[in-house]
Amino acid sequence: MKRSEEENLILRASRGDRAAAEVLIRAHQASLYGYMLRMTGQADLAEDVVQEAFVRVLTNLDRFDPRFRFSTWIFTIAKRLWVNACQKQKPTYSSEVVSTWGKPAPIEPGADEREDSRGRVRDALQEALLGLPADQREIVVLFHQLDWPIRQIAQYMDIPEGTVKSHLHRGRLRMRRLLEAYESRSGNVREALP
Amino acid sequence: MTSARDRRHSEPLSDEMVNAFFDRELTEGASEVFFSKLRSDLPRCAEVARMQRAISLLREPIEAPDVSARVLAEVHRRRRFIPESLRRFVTAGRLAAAGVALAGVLGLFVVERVSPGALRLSPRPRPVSEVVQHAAQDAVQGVSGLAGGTRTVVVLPGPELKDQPARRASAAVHSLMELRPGVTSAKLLATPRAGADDSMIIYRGAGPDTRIVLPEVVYFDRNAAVVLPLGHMSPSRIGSMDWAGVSSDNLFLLPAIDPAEVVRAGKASPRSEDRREP
Repeated sequence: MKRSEEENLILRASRGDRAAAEVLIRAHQASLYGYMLRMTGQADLAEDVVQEAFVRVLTNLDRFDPRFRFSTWIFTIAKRLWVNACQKQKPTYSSEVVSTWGKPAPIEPGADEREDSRGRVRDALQEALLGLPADQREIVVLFHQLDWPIRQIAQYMDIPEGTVKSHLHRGRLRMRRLLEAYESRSGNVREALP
Repeated sequence: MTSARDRRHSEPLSDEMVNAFFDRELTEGASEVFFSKLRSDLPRCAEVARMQRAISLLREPIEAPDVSARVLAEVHRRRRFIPESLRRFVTAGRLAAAGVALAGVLGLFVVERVSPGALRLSPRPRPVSEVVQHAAQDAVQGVSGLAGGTRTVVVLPGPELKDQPARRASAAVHSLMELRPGVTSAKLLATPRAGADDSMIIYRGAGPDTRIVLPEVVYFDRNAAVVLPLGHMSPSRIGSMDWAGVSSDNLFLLPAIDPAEVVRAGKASPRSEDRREP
């Protein structure tokens, strides 16, 4: 979505236009959910955070600063909500959820073995991601999953671009090692990765 | 002799170059060199391919739940959406309200310019003498009424002062009334007290601050030579009177004053002053 188009939607939504608000939600909910899912490792929590973030943003649209991107704003709100949720109750992703993600999916009769193997790789990937420090995980997700430019990530996280890059490099290196460790536990992953 | 290009191709693949590749920062020429080196370094190639595969899995779309309906319902609950047909009226209404507010401010400004102070909600502080002047007639009437009801004002409830009615009476003041700035409330002055219905307190200050207080009904400003019944004053006015400097040392009791005489006291020397004890 073009920035001018987005600004127009924001203006309309702030004046009480329901349709404009809906377009904004639909434009950003998938990426925001993907980001939160990768960050939290918990689908329910990610969904709750996404929903509340949109509610907060849409009820405070008059506070939107047009110098920034709408996505940056809503990701910031969502991240704060997640951090607050973590402070209120200790996150459970570190052990429980990782084990859930890491469990091999039950093989249905006749299911394609290759697809099963891809599922295991996804699990491995999520486990590796959750094994990264939060900053590195966030940068890897924003850069590789959501295609945010380094500059936007630096602005969003309020850190220099060089720091973003070093986090990204370290995150990738660590993720590679975690994946290798996962491979050593599961032969299927090696099969799926060329 | 090997060219610089050949040398670049023969050097091993550096981590910086791999990172530049994943950071999407390789130029076209650098990409060519990168892939050329990758082909000749199979372990590195496998490593890069594995990471590339992981990244591509990371980029696979995630099936996200549609939260739009729930979000819109919650937003509508907190801050109602407005149908399009009404939105223009709302906009017009907001503009009209802003216009009215602006006109109001301008109007106030103009009124204030034309007639400064006209818009004050609370009365401007005025000297007590001015207040007294405005209430002079009421005061005279009040004193006349007092004269009708009480021939003489009997002071000094304390037994030791019965025979010397006009003397310095700090002790009697205590028995009569504590009149202390900041402590004695004007309301108390206006409240009838048992056993002191006819009593009178005279404050013997000097100059414009000189006042006589008839605690039950009358406030007397010697300087303005008028008597003002307290009953004719609003509590806020009484409360705003300046009691500074009033103490038992400059309070005197008078044995008897004809209220009519009190009215004249400002011009002639009041009896209280004549009888003042050293």
